[in-house]
Amino acid sequence: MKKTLGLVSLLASSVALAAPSNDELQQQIDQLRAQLEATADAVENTAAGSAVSIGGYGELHYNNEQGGDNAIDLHRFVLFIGKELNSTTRFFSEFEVEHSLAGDGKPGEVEIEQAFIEKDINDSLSAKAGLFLIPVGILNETHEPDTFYGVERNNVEKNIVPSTWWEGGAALTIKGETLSYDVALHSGLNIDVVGGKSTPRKGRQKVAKAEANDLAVTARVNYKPAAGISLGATFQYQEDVTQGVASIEGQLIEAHAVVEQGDLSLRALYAQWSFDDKLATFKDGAEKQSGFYLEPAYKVTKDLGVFARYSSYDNLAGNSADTEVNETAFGANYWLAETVVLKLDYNQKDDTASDTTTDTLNLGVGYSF
Amino acid sequence: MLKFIYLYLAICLLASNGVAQASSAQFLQQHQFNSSEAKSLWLNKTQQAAIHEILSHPYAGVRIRYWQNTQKAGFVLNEIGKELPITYGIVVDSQGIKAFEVLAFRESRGDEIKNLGFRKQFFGGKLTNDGELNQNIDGISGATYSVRSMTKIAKLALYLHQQISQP
Repeated sequence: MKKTLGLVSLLASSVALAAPSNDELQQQIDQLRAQLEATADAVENTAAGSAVSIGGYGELHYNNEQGGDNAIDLHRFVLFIGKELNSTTRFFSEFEVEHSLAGDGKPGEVEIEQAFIEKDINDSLSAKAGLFLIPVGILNETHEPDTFYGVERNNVEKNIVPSTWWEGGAALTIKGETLSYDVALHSGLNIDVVGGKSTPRKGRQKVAKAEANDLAVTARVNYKPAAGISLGATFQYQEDVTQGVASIEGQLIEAHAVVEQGDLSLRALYAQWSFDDKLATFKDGAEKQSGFYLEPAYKVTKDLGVFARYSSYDNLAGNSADTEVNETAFGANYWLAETVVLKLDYNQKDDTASDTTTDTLNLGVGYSF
Repeated sequence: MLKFIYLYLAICLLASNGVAQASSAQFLQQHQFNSSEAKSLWLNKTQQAAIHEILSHPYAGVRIRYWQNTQKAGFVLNEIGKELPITYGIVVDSQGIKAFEVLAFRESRGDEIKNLGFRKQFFGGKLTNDGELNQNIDGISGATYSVRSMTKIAKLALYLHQQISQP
């Protein structure tokens, strides 16, 4: 009898040994949960991590000039490469192929439009150095096709500002609650006046073994008093836009407003270059070049927007001859996804110098990622 | 002329007043959460699909951390604006979005989303039945991608709050 009891108690104690208590089970669950969280942390760190970021945008255009030639063009294919180097230092770059095919005698270009290091000095002050986009206008810094109306970028910013415009140098940005300021010291224009060139657009050196005898200074103020309202003004000064050839001083003044209220929006911009009168001896009227545009738009649905734009610009505004170009455009953007857009517009261009009118139907598809 | 520019520069430096960025621990403390007591929402397939729809891309993780204090939930979430991730702190309760801050901004442009004048458009925001925000958000010129990123995070946090509040 005693033996049997002893056997039973032995069995019972071994059962007790094999079956863990609730506390022990809870402990194991806690351990497993910690391991699972640690695994998830590892997975997420690998996913987010400090990887190099790649983005980009591109646009394909079809231009049908009434009574003229039609053209189809992969206007831009762009890749962004960026990396956070530490919590206050970052690298940004933009690599672009224009018109699809570059090389000797080919229509396109391979360009580095941005390549700079940005460093936060404190919460409201940051500095950058390298090759960067000039802080001017509406489109110069933000020109992904899904962010603006019209197949082609507007001709005022293209021919007066001149967008897209980048230079090499250093800049400071100061950010406040409603006001922000940029000041940049950078390489300047080099307009080949002796070779018959007179526009700022033809003076862009693109930081390609560029002449840097005369630097330029750019200052911008942005005022954003409320959501949906943005006002900006830029001033640029360059002591000699011919880099020592003809000693011609240049000043750019640009001001713009962007207002978005509900489904309605309006973009307005004015830009003016004033050069030393000496430029008139090379090209009469080129000492003043200016232009403006007004662009109201309306979001019909979340995915469909319509716009109209009136632009006027003159690269020979310094004399009294009729040399301005007036354009009226209207069209629509249809967003297939938030960063994919189909565009259609009709543009009438009236060139007063030659007294000709050109009508163009433009179609485009653009994307960014 | 150069004197004018130096003067401008000096004015700019004087005008540089801080728009402070809080750390995530500070943000959570400010809103009465115990930052060391994070909970996790492990995402099931339905939730993964819903979040994919909100962000327009899959969520790069298997669970989302959150902090809870009665009805109120706090989240620290990342979403890329144009190129690099922006870190947000957001608090949601049954009345909608209570607080929404940018904790770390790494993009080269678009930091105006940090400003209260812009952020307050989200306060009190809720999800409609078809998963959109019930309030119109006026954008910021030159900050299109940052605004988009912030709007996605608003929708994501409201969705997550629904998910963790379900009995």
